[in-house]
Formats: sequence, C-alpha cells, structure tokens
Amino acid sequence: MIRLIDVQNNYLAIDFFLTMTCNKDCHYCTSYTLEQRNLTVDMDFLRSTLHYLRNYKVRCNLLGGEPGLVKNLDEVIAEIKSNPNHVCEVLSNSTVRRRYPQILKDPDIIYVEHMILDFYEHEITLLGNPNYEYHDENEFNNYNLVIKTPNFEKYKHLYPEAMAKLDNKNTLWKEFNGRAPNFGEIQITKQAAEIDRKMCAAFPMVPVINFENQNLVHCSKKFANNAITSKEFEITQENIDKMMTFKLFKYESYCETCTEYVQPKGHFNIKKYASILNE
Amino acid sequence: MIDVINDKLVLIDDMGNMAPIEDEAIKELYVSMKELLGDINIIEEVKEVEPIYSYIVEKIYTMPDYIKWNEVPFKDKPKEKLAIAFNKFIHDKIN
Repeated sequence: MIRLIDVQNNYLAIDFFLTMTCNKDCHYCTSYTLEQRNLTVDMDFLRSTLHYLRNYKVRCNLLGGEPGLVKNLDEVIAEIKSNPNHVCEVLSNSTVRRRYPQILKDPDIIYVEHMILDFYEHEITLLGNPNYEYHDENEFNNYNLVIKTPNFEKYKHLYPEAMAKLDNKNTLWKEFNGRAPNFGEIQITKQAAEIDRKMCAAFPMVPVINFENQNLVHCSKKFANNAITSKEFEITQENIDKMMTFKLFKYESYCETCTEYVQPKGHFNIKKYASILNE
Repeated sequence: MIDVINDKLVLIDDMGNMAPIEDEAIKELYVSMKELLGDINIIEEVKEVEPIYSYIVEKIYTMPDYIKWNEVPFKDKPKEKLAIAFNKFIHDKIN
C-alpha cells in the first residue's frame, strides 16, 4: 500500500486536467465550466503522455473540472497504475464517491474529497450528498480536504462537532489561495519570499497536463486564474525530460507578482531535491 | 580573490593581504554548505549551472535550517553543481 508521506517526499506532482467540466461552482474556483464537454479522455493522448513520463516518479493528480464526470475514469486510472513509477490521486467534490465507489476501496489510489464548500454563520455548505460522512482515520488513503477560506477562520468555532470529526490524520488542510477573483482584497498570507517563488517556478506545486488543449502548462494556479496566461509547452519527450529535471520552467513575470501560499520551510524540502537530482 | 584558510573564508587582495570575511550570513552559509558537501574549494573561475542549484544555495543562505531536512545525501554530480553554485553565490555577494 502506498503511503501519502512517501509520495509527498519522493514524487513530483502533475495535475491532469481531464476535463474542465464541473457540476459545482465553488466561489473560489475559476478552473471549471458548467458546459458538459470533453467527458471522455483521449486514451492515445494519455498513453503517449504517460510514456514520456515513464521513468519518473510522478503523482498524477486527476482533477479538472470534476473527474467523477469523466466517462472512462476507470480506464484512465488503470493506465496510470500500470506503471509502478506512477501514483494516482483523484480529487473530487464527492461525485467520484457516488459514481466510482470502488476507487475509495483501493488503497493504491489517493482519494481526496473536497466535500466542504465553505463555513458560514448558519451552516457548513457541502458540495455532495449531506448524508455522506467525513472520512474517519483510515488505511484506504481516503482523505478529507478542507480549504481554509476566510470564512473557515471566522466561523470554525461554531462547528465543534464537525471539527472534531475532521481532526484526524486523514484530513488535509489547505491554505486559501489566489484562485478567488478578488483574492487581492482578502489576502490572508503574505507573498512568499522571492527565493521560494523562484524554486516554485522551477517546478511549481503542480504543473498541468491540459487534456482539452493537449499541452503542458507551467502552473496550475496561473492556469486557473486566467487573468494571466501561464506558459504553455508542447508535450514531447524533450520537454518532459527538461521539466522533470527543473530545466524547462523559468521564473516568469507572473511569478514576480504571485501571491500563492508557499510552505515557510520552502517549496520542497531539500531531501526531495536530493532524491530527484540524484537520479 | 576568495579562499579558505584555516577553515575560514578570507578575502585576499592584489598585494596578498588577507582579511577574514566577517559577514555572519556568509560564514553560516559556508558552514552549512560544508556540512552538505564536505570540503569545498573556492575557485576564481565562476561557472554557470542550472538555476535550481543556485536556488538551493540561496535558500540555504536565507534559511540555514533548510539543510536540517536533508536525510538523503546528494550524490557526486549534484554535489559538484552545488559547489559551483556556491562559488558563484559567494563571488556575487562579495564582489
């Protein structure tokens, strides 16, 4: 069984934006359309991309959009899992729990459920079925994802029961980030130090394989926040090799003004750089 | 010219006069890099390496604790590149 901590320390994560279609409209997300489109993944494109990545330890984050809406998600996951160097992570608003429940029973898939839209004065607004329980501590690699929105900080004290249920090793707490259109006005964290942004630029928290345009995008955050277009690259063996050895992406003008959260301990720890640069 | 004498970074002028480099942050960086790489030679010729190596050196300079999270030792090739990046960083800072 895979362990999340090992994956975090030894793998580089790449977002696979399988489709931009989503069935929800989270107020802090600009990375979706309600239009139903591209719901069947082009397997030839997936296979060629995975082939270019075959020798690298990659965490393939399946998202978009909502991966639970993809019609051939099982096939996509089977293809990714066929290479032991690749780990599959699925991020869903709980549509996957409804449509592909078998994914939650497979401990070799990291399933991250973004179930909570936000915390309000009168309720916690959920994205999926209100009868779904939050994930308890488990060995199946099923995780709750909670985004620390400004409302979370403001109202979390009103929900001690929910907070107690979420207080386990299978809950991931994510800093609020710049995807909100008016993020600049409600910024919680200070801009990261320049050196952290430079390191992030060399290999962002997540570059993107965009299945709609079939290209490689430098940064998922700038991809999503489409006020500024992130640099795009053709998917070739040469570009993949350069990307995975920190040689493809540069510190761009949008990195200079980026206000995304970066871990105070650095974008990646030095152990991770050592393990990748030693290859 | 910059050199290491008695395990300390020193600046040597054209007349051969030596003055220890007193900048605490640079002294600390030298200690950290030595811990990471072993003995380091300071060379006059400043070479270029991929930016990631320079970033790691700069990160250690701004946050000396950064090396504490390294349970995986660097192999010879990345060590060599880090040493080059360290050399360049020191020269840029001092000159």
